[in-house]
Amino acid sequence: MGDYENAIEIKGVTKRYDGFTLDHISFEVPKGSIMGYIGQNGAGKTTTIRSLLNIIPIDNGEIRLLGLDHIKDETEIKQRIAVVFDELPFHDIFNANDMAKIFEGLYAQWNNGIYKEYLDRFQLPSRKKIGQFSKGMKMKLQIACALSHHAELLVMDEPTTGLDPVVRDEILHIFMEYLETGERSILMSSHITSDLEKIADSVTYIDKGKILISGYKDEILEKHGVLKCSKEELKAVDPQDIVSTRINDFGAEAMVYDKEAMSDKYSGLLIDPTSLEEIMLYYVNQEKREWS
Amino acid sequence: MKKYKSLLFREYKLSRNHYLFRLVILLLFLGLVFLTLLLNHEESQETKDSITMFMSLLFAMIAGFVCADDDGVYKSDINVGWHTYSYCLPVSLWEKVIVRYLVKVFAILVGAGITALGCQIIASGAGTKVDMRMICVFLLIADIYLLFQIIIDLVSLMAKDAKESKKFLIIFAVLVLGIIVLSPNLIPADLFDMSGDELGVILPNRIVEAVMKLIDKLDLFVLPLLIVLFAAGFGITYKIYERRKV
Repeated sequence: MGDYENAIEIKGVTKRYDGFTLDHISFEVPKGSIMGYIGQNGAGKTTTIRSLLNIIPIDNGEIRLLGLDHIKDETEIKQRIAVVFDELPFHDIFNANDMAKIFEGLYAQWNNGIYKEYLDRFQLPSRKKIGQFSKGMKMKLQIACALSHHAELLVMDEPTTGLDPVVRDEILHIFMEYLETGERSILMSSHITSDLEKIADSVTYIDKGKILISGYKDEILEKHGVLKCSKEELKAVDPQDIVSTRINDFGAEAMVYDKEAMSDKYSGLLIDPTSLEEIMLYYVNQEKREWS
Repeated sequence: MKKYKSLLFREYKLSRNHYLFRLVILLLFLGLVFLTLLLNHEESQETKDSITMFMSLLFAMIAGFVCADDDGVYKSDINVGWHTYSYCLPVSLWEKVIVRYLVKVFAILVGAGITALGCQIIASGAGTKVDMRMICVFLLIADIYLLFQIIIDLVSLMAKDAKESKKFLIIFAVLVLGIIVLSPNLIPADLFDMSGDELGVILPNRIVEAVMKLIDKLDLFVLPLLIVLFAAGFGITYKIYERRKV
């Protein structure tokens, strides 16, 4: 295990496409933590992940994984990390045993014993063709492969999308166990905010290629709140205090940046706690200011 | 070595059915020809020699096509997502490309062996001698096929997108057709002249003659050309993998 403070450091990363730009993305994932990388479909989550894995080259910026340069030290990094995609990238004709034969030659630290334990735990047949697996089984197989070579960093691109709540819960529980040593880290992109609320230490929101907010999950949840008032009462609220406002037939719901301060400032108004999903909705509509 | 073993195991499992199917086709063809020759005792020795040469030529050409043919692993890797995923694995570009070409080289070597054996079987069925220039025919067909594949790969490397790739391929196809049609000596003028002759004898003989004339001119070059084409193909494949996008 290496000596580094942050498992992932991304500084000023820019990637330009026709019609989309990943614009000066910066964030860090401290060692031993889980970061939830949240955004709508097409926000730039997958582009960011592919950039840090050097699947696509970046136009500007710096990326360090496990304290190492993501291009110069690519082979060493890839021995020490594991990646999980939303769709299983293994051919249907293989079975779980075949995947073990493939990976044991690729990873110096591959452990067949751990792999077999995960197969048993996930109740995955070792000789059945992958093509006959359900979606949940395929994801579990991919995770079993990812967790069987003592990877220090797990990078996952929407691993729970399309899975039922039971399987999602099982998988999230596995991730929590994975982090117990304190030496491992996870970056998990998702638009299922409820999963990240359960397990993430920190979250980063991305929208249209830009980071909207990044920080510790509990702090973000504590700081933000939803101010509920009538449309008349809304006029008295300073727009600088609000992320954006949702208008409906009954009144207005405005997300505030600082719940505690706003509770003092607008003492007559109700400010409710919020969720990551709500925070995402309000930040995504920040430019509109008012929406419904 | 362990890494290559794993990668080759993967390639083997993915391409096994492709090569098995082609081997069955070759064996069926061989079996059919062998039985036909064995059961036809009444043909003259000259006719048997002609048939042996033509069937051996056909066998060598089919073997050349099926052994040099792309096994579809790269395409299916892209479709399944493994191609993208492989950039997350501790496998270098060199290692990926070396494994791909080891499989191709092995297929060509086995194909050459099967050609030699197949021609021997055909000849023994007719009671004639085998013409080992058929190995050169096999290599020549493999060369031509590899050259086409290299050009297609080069086009996909140069083209910005699928639309441009299609455009380049159409231009290339038109150029090749133009060369074939406009080259005066490429196809012998009397090849299809069937006047004053038994049906089905002169044309195969002329085809054999034309191909063997070509082989006699090129026999020293087919193997070095194969090596050069493998090297060129290796370089282009490396560049395609290096580009990292499909």
